[in-house]
Amino acid sequence: MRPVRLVVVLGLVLALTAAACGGGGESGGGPGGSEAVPKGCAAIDMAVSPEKVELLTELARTFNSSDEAKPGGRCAFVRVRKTSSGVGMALLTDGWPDEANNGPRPVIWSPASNAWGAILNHRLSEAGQPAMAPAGAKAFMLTPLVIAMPRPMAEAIGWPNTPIGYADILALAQDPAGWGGKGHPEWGPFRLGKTNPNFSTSGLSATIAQYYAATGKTRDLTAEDLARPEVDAFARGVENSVVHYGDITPTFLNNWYRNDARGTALTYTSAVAVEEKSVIDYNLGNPDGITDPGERPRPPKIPLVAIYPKEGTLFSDNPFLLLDAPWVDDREREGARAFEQFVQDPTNQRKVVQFGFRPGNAEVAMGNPIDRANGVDPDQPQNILGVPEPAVLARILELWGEQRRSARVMLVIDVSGSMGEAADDQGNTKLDLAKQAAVSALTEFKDEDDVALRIFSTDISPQEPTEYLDLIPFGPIGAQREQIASKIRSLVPTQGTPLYTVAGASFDDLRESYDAAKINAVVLLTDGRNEDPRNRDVEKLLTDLRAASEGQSSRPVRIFPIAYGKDADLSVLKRIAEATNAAAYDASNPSTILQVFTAVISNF
Amino acid sequence: MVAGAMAVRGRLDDRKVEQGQVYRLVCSVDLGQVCNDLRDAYPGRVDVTVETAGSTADRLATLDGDPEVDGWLVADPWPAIVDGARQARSLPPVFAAGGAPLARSPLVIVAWKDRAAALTPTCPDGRLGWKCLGEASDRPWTERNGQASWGAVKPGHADATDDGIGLLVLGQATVEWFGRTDLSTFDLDDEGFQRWFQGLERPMRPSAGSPLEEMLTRGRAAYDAVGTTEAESGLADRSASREAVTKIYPDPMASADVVLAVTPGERGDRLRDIVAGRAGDELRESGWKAPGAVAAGNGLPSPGLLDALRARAREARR
Repeated sequence: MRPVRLVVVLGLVLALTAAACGGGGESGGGPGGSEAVPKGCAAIDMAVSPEKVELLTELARTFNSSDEAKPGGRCAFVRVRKTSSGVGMALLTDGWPDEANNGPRPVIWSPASNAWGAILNHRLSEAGQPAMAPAGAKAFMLTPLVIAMPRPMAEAIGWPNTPIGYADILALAQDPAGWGGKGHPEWGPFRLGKTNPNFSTSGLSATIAQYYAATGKTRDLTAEDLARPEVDAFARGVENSVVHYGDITPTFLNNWYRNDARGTALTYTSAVAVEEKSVIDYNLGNPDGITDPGERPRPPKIPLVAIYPKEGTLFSDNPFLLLDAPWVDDREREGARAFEQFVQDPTNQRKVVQFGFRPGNAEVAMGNPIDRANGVDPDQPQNILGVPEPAVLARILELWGEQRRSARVMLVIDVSGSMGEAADDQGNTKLDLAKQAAVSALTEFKDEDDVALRIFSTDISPQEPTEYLDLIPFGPIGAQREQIASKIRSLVPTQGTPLYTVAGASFDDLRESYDAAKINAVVLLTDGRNEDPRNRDVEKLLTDLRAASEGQSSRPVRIFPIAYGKDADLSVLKRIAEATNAAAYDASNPSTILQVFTAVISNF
Repeated sequence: MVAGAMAVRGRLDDRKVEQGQVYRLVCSVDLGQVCNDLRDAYPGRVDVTVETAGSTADRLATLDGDPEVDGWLVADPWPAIVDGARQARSLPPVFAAGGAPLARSPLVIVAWKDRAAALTPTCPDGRLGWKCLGEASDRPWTERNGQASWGAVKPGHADATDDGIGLLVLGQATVEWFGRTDLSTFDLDDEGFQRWFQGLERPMRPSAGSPLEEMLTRGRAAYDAVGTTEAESGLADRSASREAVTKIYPDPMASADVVLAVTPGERGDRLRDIVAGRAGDELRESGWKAPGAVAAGNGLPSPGLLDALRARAREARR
């Protein structure tokens, strides 16, 4: 079982990582989080899930300059900070430590789903502490979980005339004939995209739905249901079709969009569990839902359609949780309530619709862009799945750690001379911090995961290939965790950075020893640019990676690079990740490497 | 529940600026904005705690000593349910007798028109009410003139174990099933009733907020029909879905009364003097009616029977 602390350490990180690297970024300091509070005003800090940070930031800005921000004649100033739902839950469970890195303790917490509030209260209760998430919190906007599929694939299984359920999708995922069974062998096996439920609301909701499909129930899921052998087998079968996990859905959507441009969308992934809003964003040409300055969205060639499972689905209800926390005082409560009223105002609820969410205020009608032209259906869903009891939710997360697809991961660590540079004022070098992070991250793998360790630097090996050295071959990490840790601890910096050669060779090695039952991946940590005089051809590397990653018969190996330190070649690393349908991570601040490493491991 | 109750008590203690100056009012969360308005209306004078009726009732039912409240704004007969439970434990009553209702609102069913049109012809006497909804509940819509894609019939009401109004709706439904209000707890053992009750209550899922609001914002996926007060049903009239829903007054009619129950003595009397008038005004602004504007007699079973229904609802969901 994967330790829960995984989500705690991630709190620091994702603003520094995937946002810049093709992944969106689901946590950490968002806009407004460090804004100065005008003199005499009470700071109303709000932690919100990433998909609504732009909207909430805009609403907060309007509120702060309005008369509504002066309840009782006293000034309130709302500051919005992006924090992924799972991370927020974990931080609140621990009393929101380390404000310097995690941001100020929130007065208001708005995760994507109220289920996170239930899990928070359950974990606090287990620790003998009072509940923090209030009962009866109102949703201020909604979006249902859907199964996003490229339109031709959806049509191949009967959409829109035949109602499609989770059970149908999951049966297809487990069919050895794959798309061949539906008359489309050219699409290869059915590949499912699903985020890590410890981090992502879509991942949590999809995992809940998966258990409902396994039991045939639509409510009242129990711990006993989860323990049934056939349910366990079903869950493992579904997880085996997952291409990889990860912390945020935009990783899948960005990769899908890039593949669409190359004409390979249908062989990248067949279906991804996402929120309805994401389908709208994708079809509008904005797969990560964030419009960068100057960006001109271009709709994809093959649009996605939202499948609303016939058994029912779950809503992300975006509750407005005014925390019953010891650090929240009466004046902050007053300001928070004023902001909640402001957000529920019909004028502001119409903005919610513009952002692709369904309004939380019943007085406001749905409308563009929530319409069939964008692949979604405002008249759906017709049924809802029950949110399980908190104890059952907690058990689902535990079980997922055991049932998730196993991984086969090569850790490739740069030991070039620059890794010996000072990284902090404690006397640690960059390599010291990387070693600590890598050793710590080893605990996040489950025992059945195969892990190997490779280091690289120019002339590190006395024989060809001289650019890298295999220290530990592939084997179940349960049997060699300490051995890998010991090797990592003994690493010392040497010479230059043969980045292209080691990236290509590691990719090839994994393809040659590909294990179809596992997620096959390379985690490539480097702090520099390619310094190999024998191989300077990045375009050839990218072409080779891309060619080997495309097509229905490909053996998908993902490279997840970590750009470590300010000198790392982030742009090239990002292109390497994209060529293999993965994501790059930015640890340009070396002190974040522990958190970044943990985020990378969330993909497995 | 216990931890929550302790937290509330702690908060009440913290805010007790000085005995005799700050009056302590608990307001039932189902009264919505009324509670928030009262909370903001008397800063430093009345400390308003907003919580579910069930939480307040469970705390007060067993509390020995100072109840640490001076008044409770809630649907009748929750205060009588509390004092009935205390009497059974040989504890003195918390609340003074009497106290006229501040506001009244008939109980109604709000349903999607297409669902009501499909279901009504299948109901006894062709009349859509709780008896029919309970029988159809959780059964496929295909058995009731509906479409397969609609799934199962989904009636709803607020949690009868915890929500001030939810319990009254369940009381009204029970009266409709029996056709009379003079019920005893022995009546609840009737096999036919138990089948109907289980059918209605077992699939009832907890709602984070108001079931009506959930129905209107999540559409038919959430509920096909919801029981609530006429006051709250104004939300349906104002909603973007107003053309798609219909309002039904079950027969026999029943209504919810809001009361301000105060503790015996000067503090309770003083609290009543301060907030009763304003609370009545706020309630009327929220769609409640003056007590005289709705026929007297609330059409509900006794407090003891409602308490028994609350216990049965809790069991049904286990």
